[in-house]
Amino acid sequence: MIPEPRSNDGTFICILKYKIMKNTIIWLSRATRWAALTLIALPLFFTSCTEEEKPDNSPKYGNLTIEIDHVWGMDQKPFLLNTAMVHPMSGDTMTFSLIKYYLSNFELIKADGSSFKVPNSYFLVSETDNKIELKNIPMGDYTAVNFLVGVDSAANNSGLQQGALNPSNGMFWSWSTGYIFVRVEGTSPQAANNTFLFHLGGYMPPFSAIQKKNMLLGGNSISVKPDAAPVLHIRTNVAKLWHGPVKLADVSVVHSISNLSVSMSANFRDGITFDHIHQ
Amino acid sequence: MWGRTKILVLVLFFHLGSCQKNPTSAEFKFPNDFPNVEYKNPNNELTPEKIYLGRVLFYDPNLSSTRTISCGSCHAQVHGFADHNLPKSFGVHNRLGKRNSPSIQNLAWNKSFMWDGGITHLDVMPIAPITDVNEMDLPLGLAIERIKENKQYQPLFQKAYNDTTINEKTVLFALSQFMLSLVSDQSKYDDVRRGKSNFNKLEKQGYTLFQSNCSKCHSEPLLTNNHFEYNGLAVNDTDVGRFRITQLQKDTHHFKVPSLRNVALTYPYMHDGSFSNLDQVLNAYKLKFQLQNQDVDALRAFLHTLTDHKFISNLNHGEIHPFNP
Repeated sequence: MIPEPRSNDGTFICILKYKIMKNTIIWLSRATRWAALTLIALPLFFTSCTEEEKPDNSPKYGNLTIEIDHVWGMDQKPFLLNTAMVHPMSGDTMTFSLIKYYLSNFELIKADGSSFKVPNSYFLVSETDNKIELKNIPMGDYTAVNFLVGVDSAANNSGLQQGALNPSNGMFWSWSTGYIFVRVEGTSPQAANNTFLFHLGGYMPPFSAIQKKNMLLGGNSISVKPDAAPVLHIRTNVAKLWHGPVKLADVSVVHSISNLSVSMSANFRDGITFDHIHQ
Repeated sequence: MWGRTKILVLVLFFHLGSCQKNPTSAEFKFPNDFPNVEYKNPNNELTPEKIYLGRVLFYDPNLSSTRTISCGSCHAQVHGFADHNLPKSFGVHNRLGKRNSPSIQNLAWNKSFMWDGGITHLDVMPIAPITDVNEMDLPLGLAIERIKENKQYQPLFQKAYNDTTINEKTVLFALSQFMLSLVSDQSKYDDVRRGKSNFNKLEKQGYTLFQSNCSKCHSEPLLTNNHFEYNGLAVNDTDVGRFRITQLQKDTHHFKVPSLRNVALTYPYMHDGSFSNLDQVLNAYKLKFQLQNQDVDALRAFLHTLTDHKFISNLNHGEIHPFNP
């Protein structure tokens, strides 16, 4: 209880001022309560009224998997390690112990010609490591995929790299700085010393074995969007490497740059083809 | 008096503050009268701690298959970081190498490495001798494992990188740092260049002859133009040199011009070590350039002024084995 001053007429104005102040304070405290309630209630009011989504213009992304099937020859028999296979063109019997190759610099193209370059995309593919994950691709329908067989010139010459380009991966020429783009080894009765070894590399013209692949998706398109998991199935026909044919009796070891490396890597690139899309 | 004490305390405080020994950058300075540095790696700052780690790795024979051969085995400080009087070096199991061990000096100014320039970045240079079957014969991944298995390395990596991760990057960056720190620029020739000393009469004659006959390939101040040249001195040489890398005919028998700094210490000479001493080289060039005997004496005197005694006795560069067995 607020004590009233005991004063006479001289303090009438004082009492009035005091009463005004007291009432203002009471009014304000009530108003504040209402203001607070309003502030809390208002958004709830609006939220419960509007059920439709707020428009969201932020860019959307999705992922894309590329799965590579390794085959042997035009009739696409499965390619197997440690299994004797006859080359359809040269007739050489080849038993493979190893196949590894780089695919890099992926670019996805839309029907209108616009494209998206996947940053830092370097992948080391082998018979067992045959899935490539491309992440954070802008949402859209893509009708072509471009990539390099091999490693681009700048990355060959940038010093020590990590990940797929780590020199410990067995795809690096220590004596001539640069990557082996396609590495294939095995045995064959037709090869000198019964072994064959093809290490195709080189990025300096005129012996650059880097090959560009422009892969159209046969009139189809891949739809990239959030919460989707499209898979692009492609095929690598390993036999294409000896297209010509390149007979093992003539050459069974390649481990430096040459015109042969260039033509073999070009054939290998031609042997990588679009198969189907699993949306 | 109290005022002066306050100042003293302040001075002490700031002095102590500047003594902090965190890994610091830019403590190592390259000579400013050399050309621009060629080594490019913005992620590999030079610090004393990384240089020290690189030095320990450089002299560690556990990076070879038989645990007997280190980088220092074929790159000895006393010989200007070339080998001890061997035309070609011996690796594990006494296997013989293919070319003469080059001197490790002033590599920050190299555009390429090895006699044929096959290696184009210092950070990947050690991979070649470590993995070569005739040298250290150890796959790179296994070399990393050898370093990891020695727990005494951990504090060195911690000091260098603030992290104990041991991988290709932390190992090779440290090795680069040690090699980059091997700068030779304190020879008598350098003192003369900087006006701090004078050649004697014979040395001066030699220098003049050098400038007319030799400096096209052995250009100053690095004493190499870092190009691939054919000096015509070889006899029956099967080594095709730069051709092995470029496969271009014009590069056959061409080799990278070595720096002549510390040349008096780095015998034998040429890519195959086929010239045992300086006089053999000078006599071959005497024939080629039609010089006089007296010219040879003068050139010899000048070439000796390229010896950097500080470089070969620098205690920060020498062989070190800091670990307990």
